[in-house]
Order: sequence, then C-alpha cells, then structure tokens
Amino acid sequence: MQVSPVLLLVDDDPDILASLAIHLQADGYRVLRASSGEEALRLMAGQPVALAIVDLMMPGMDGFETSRQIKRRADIPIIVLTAVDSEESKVRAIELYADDYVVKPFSYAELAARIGRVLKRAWPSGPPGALERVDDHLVIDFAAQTVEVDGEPRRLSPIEAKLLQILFTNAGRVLPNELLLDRVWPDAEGEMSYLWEYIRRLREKLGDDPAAPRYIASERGVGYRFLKPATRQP
Amino acid sequence: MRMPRGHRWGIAQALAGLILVALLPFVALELFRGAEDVGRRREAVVAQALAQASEEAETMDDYLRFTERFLATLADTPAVRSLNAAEAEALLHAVRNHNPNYVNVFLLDAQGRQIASTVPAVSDPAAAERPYFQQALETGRIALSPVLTEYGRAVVVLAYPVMADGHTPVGVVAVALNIARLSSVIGFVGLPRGSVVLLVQRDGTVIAADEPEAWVGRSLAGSSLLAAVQTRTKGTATAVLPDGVRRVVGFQALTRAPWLLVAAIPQAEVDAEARRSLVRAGQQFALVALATALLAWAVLRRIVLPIRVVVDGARAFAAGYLNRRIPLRRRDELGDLVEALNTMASTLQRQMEEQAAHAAALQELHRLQTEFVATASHELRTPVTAIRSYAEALMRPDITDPALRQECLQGIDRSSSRLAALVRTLLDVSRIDSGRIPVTPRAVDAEAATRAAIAQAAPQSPERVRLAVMPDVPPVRADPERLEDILANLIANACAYSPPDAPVEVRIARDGTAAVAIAVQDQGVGIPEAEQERIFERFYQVQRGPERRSGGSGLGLYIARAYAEAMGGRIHVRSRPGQGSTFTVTLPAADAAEVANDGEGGTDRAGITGIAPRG
Repeated sequence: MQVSPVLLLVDDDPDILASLAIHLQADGYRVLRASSGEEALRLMAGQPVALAIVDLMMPGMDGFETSRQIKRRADIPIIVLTAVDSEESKVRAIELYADDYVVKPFSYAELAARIGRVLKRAWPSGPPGALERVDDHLVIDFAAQTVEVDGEPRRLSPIEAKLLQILFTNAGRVLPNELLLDRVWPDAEGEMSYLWEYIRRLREKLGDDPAAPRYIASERGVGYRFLKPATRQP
Repeated sequence: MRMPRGHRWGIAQALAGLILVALLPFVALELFRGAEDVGRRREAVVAQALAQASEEAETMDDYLRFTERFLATLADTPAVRSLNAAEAEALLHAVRNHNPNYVNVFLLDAQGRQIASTVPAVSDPAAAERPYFQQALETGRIALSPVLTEYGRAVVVLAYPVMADGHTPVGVVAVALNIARLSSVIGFVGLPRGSVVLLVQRDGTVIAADEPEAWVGRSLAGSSLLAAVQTRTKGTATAVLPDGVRRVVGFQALTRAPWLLVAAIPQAEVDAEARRSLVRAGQQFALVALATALLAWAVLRRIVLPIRVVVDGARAFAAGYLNRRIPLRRRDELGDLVEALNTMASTLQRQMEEQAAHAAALQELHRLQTEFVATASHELRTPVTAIRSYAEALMRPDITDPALRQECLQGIDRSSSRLAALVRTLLDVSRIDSGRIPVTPRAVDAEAATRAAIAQAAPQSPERVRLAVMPDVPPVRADPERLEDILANLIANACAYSPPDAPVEVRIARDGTAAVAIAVQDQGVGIPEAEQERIFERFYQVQRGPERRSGGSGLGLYIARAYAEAMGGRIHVRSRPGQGSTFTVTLPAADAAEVANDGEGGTDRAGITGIAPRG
C-alpha cells in the first residue's frame, strides 16, 4: 500500500504556508504546517516525514538551526526557501543541511519539480510509511519508533530508529560505513565504534543473527545492507 | 627585514678601534720603559757588585787596621818592650786566647830570635831572613807576609816593630792570622744567587772567600779579570772565573794589604734579573691594558647597548607594535632620539586608532545597510511569493473548491497590502535620506486623527486601546495622513510589546500654551535606558520577546521621528524596564488662521518641508 508522502512545511509567513499547502495537498502530499522551527520539531516527532521545506529567514530559531535540528532527529531531505539572493548564503545552506534550495519569489511549478526530484533521490523505493510490514516476523512502526518482532513490541532509541530507517529505505543496496556515519550523525560526531554498537543493538532488537542475517547483512570492510524480502532466507 | 650582523656592530667596532688607537702610544711608552728598565737593572747589578767589593774591602781594611793597632799596643807594653820572655809569653797567651783568628802571636828580637811565642814548640830559624821581618825593622811600620803555610794551615803573618825607646827597633811582635778564619769576616748580603766574594792576592791567588772550600787556594791567573785588576785599584769588569761561570765583577784594592776584594755576580743572574724586570713591566702593562679594556667595555655598554635598545624599539614600531615604548631614559642625544621615536609612535598609534574607529563606524553602517537590504529583500519577496503562489493556485484547473479559491483571493489581498505598506515605508526612508519630506500641514483635530490611528493599528481589538482626551485641546498643525501613520505605528508597537489583552492607554493633552502632546503608554517590558535613543535610529531593531518585527524592518520609529520633526513637532520616549514605555508625540497647536482655513482643505497648499538628514 503506497501512502502519500508527508511534507513538513516551515515558514513564518502564514500566506506562504497557506498558499503552498493548497498546492501540495492538491498534488497529493500530506502537509504539516509549522510557523516556527520549534513547531516544526514538535510536529515531526509524531510521524515519519519524507521531506522538509524550510524558510531560511525566520525570527527565533532560523532556517539553519531548524535544518540542523531536523537532521539530528531524522535522516530526511530538506529544501530551503531563501529570499536572500546571495551566493554565499546559498552555498552555506546547501553545504550544511539542505539538499536543495529555491529562491523567493519562486513559482510553485519550480518548487514542485525540486520536491519530486529530491524525494526520488532520497527515497528510491518510496518514502517509508508509518507502519512497514517487512515479513511475517517483523513489523516496523516508524512513527512510534518501535518494532514488533513475532508480535512482541520493542522500543527503538531515536538513533536506532534513524539507522533502521536509512537501512530499510535503501533495502538491497550496500550502504558504506562512511555514508551511514554521515547520515546518522550529520554533526560529524559519529565514530565507527558508535556505528558498530548501534548495529549490534539493532540486530539484538530485531532478533537478527549476525552469522546468518535475515535483515541486516554485514559487507565486510564496506558497510551494511538491509536484505530485500526476496533474498531473505525462507 | 633584519640588518646584517656586521652592521649591527658598527659603532662598537669603531669605539673599540678608537680605544685601541688611543692605547698604542701607551703601549710603546711602556715597552720603551721596560727596555730602559732592563738597562738600569743591569747597571744596578754591576753597581751592586762594585759596592759590595768596596764594602768588603773596607771591612777587610778595618780588620787589618784593627790587627795593626793591636800589634802596636802590644809592642808598646813594658813586657814586650823589655823583651822579657816570661812576662811577654804570658801576655801573648792572654791576647791570643781572646782572638781565635790568631794562630800564633810571637815576639822576636832584632836578630830574629824567638823571645816568646804562644806556640813555643814552633820557631822559625830563618825568621831574620823573612822579608816582612826585615821590612818591619827597617820601615818601623807594620809589614805583611805573603800567604804562608805554617802551623799546618795557611796563614799571613803581620809583623810590627818593637821600639825600646821610641826610636830604635829592638824586635818584632807578630801575629799569624788564620786566613781560613778571614773568610768568616767577608761575606755578603743581598747579592743574587751564584755570586761570590773573594779576597785575592796580587798574583791572583784567592786567599779568602765567602765559600772558602770552593775558592781558597785557587788562582785567578789566566782569567781576563787579572789584567783589568793589575792597572786599577777599583772598577768593574766582566770575566769568566775559574769555575767557568761568566760573571760581572766589581773589585777594590785594599789599602792595608796588597790584596783585592772581588764581588762577582753571574751574568746569567744579571740577565735573569733583567728578564724579571721585563716581566714585571709586562705584568704592569697587562694590568693597565685590562683596566683599560674594562673601562672600554663599560663605555661600550653605555653607548652600544642603549643603541641596541633603540634599534629594537624602532624595529618593533616598524613591525606595527605601536603601543610599545622604548624603555630608555637618558639626558643625552640618545635620550632625545628615544623621546622623538616614542612620540612618533604615539602619534602614529593615535592616528591609526582614529582611522580604525572611523573604519569600524563605516563597517557598522555598512553591516546595518547590508542587513537592511537582506531584510527588505526578504520582506519584499515574501508577499510576492505568496501572491504568485495564490495566483498559480487559482490558475490550476484541479483546484475548484470555491472556499479554497476564496482563500487564495483573500491571501492575495493581504499580501498585496503588506507589499504596498512596505513599498511606502521604503519610499519614506528614501525621501528622508534625500532630505525631502513631503508634508502638508494644516489644522488637524488630534482626537479624530488618534481614533483613525487606533482603527488602523488595532482593527481586531480597538477596545484594547483606551483613549483619554483632556479638555480644551486645540487643533494641531500637522499633515493628517502622516500624523495618523505616526500614531498608528506607536499604537501598533504598544500592542505588540504588551502582554496580550493588556490595555494600551492613549492620552491627549495640552503641552504648555502652544503645543499638544499625544502619549501612548503600554505595559510592556520597557526599554533599557541605553537603548532609548537608539530605537529611533535607522535599522535599529529591539530584540524583545518572540514577537515578530513591529512595523517592518526597524524603520517605523525612524520614519515617525523624521515626520514628526518635519511637521515642527517631536517624539520621545520615557521608559523603565519592567514598567512599560510611554511614547509621546508633541505637535504645535494650529493658529487661528489655519483653523479658519480648515474647511477649504489644505491639499492645495501642499509644500515640501526640507529637513536636514539626521546623523
């Protein structure tokens, strides 16, 4: 079942929020509207967000800080809306946390094209739904940050949930260690030992055996891979 | 940047050279004196040898004189004069016992027969033939024998005639002097090592010496000394003595005997003495040179080290450390230089600080302007984006819900108004900047203008604003639209910065006789005193609470004050943090003529009032 992707829209201007929401809902997205960075962080805690659109210039928590906080909580792409037509500002935004940016005033068509491209790049096999039934044994609830293994619910820490989400949404692909470090700990505070520890904990919670993995396979010296149902042991 | 090292030492080198050159004559003088001293030392040694010889010769002469007087006394005793053997012998014995130098004292008669003797066993059978015996008898004076070997030792016999009646010699009294014991009489003090003092006969035989074992009995015959000695009674010479040592010799002939006294100092000792003298001179020179060098070093330190301090300080200035000062206090040319350099540094420093302050002010203005451009850009682009987005939504065929379309239209309307207000603000700023503010003053009813402002500033909740109008408030002279803008701005600010639902009070009253004050009082957090003037500055934004920008981009109060002043009024704030703020606009009261003209409308009297741009 393909659910419609959830977009988090953050702008302090109510008219920007309202007009973009009209467009996005008409295009089949579910829209979370936040008029400040703080509100955005509150909203994204409740459900898996596929993409955040963040205005750069906001009073209080500005766009940079909002993006940073979003990336710390979940590995989702961000498109930045900027009115500042300065090269420096754009580069800074993109280099830090944004996957793309649009300069105000933009046409909705331009924004829509970018949203489509970023979503496709970030979620090759579609954005995660709130509830993912992986196989008969494992159900992942990304919204609640829990897994259900053979009917038994287990709670995931935010980092574990983020790591599992990255692995799951790239199922079948080998994710290099560096990429995982980069995306799980965007503030560059991660170390290989952390990654190993979180993989170990995640396997424990999923009831996965590292020697004969059903879900998370090690690619020695390269990284990790979430096994697609087809390649899983019966 | 660093100078070559050699250059650095230039002054030190020059001074050292100067001191060396100054030292040169001294060195020459000292060397000359040293050489002179060597000569003098040499002469002194020679003189010493001669003096020693004279002194010793005198001693020996004295000794002989003493012996002569002794013999004379003896010869005059009755026992001797009478040639009484027994009495004379007793006397001679007594005398000899007192003089250990006398080997024998004996008395002979005129024929040479021995009358008495202290050594009776020995008598000289040939005494009458002895030259000294005959000489004594014939001359009636003392006579001296050559060195004889008698009594088993070398002796010299001194003979003195005995006169029975004072004219006719009746015999000779004689003493045999032990020559070996004579050596104990001579001797020397203060001659250099290896020196010898000798008593020599005319034929060159040494008869006594300060070192008898080595010298007595040896002959100086054959040495070059003897030739010199033969012709003079006193003098100096250089000769090789029989021990093979070259010596400087001083000699003196005795007056009482045909003997010479010779004092000989080894040439080597003389040279050594000269050398020592030279060394002493050298040491003195070295001492003086050292003292001079120390003095020179002290002078160099006093001149060169301070120069280095100055150079280091100047380099520090050159490197940009203008806050440093050269730490040198002197009352000379160097001190003047240091003072000049330090003054230069402080002047430069002050100029650079002034420039830096100026640059910082410019930079701050630039920063504010950049910030303003960014903010204005964002403020302009945001409503445009919203309008565009709403318009696009209206154009989408798939959005047909009438409610949504209505929302889009309302949104376009809202955003357009915002855009228009913003454009107006920016235009106002542009006008203020160019110093041309269009105001059309006429008589305006303050209360009416205030009510209009309240409606504009708080359309949703006009009841929140409480208006109090004092009695007898005259109309004011103002541009009604501008006055309304100013008041609306103040009221909107008051609402924005007060707690929700807290009342905002507006009070209109006379201010003196010719002015009206409109005060807007809020119950907000207040404005710190330090910021109270700054809030009227361009771009200044008060950071208070989560509330969004009050009237745009920090330009509202700037524009308000500019217009208030353009209309001949003023605007000021009174605030205490935590107790709210009161903004007061004071405007001149309109005069009677203007009030009368009110009905005709003042727009045809529109004028432009120029004001000088602020700051």
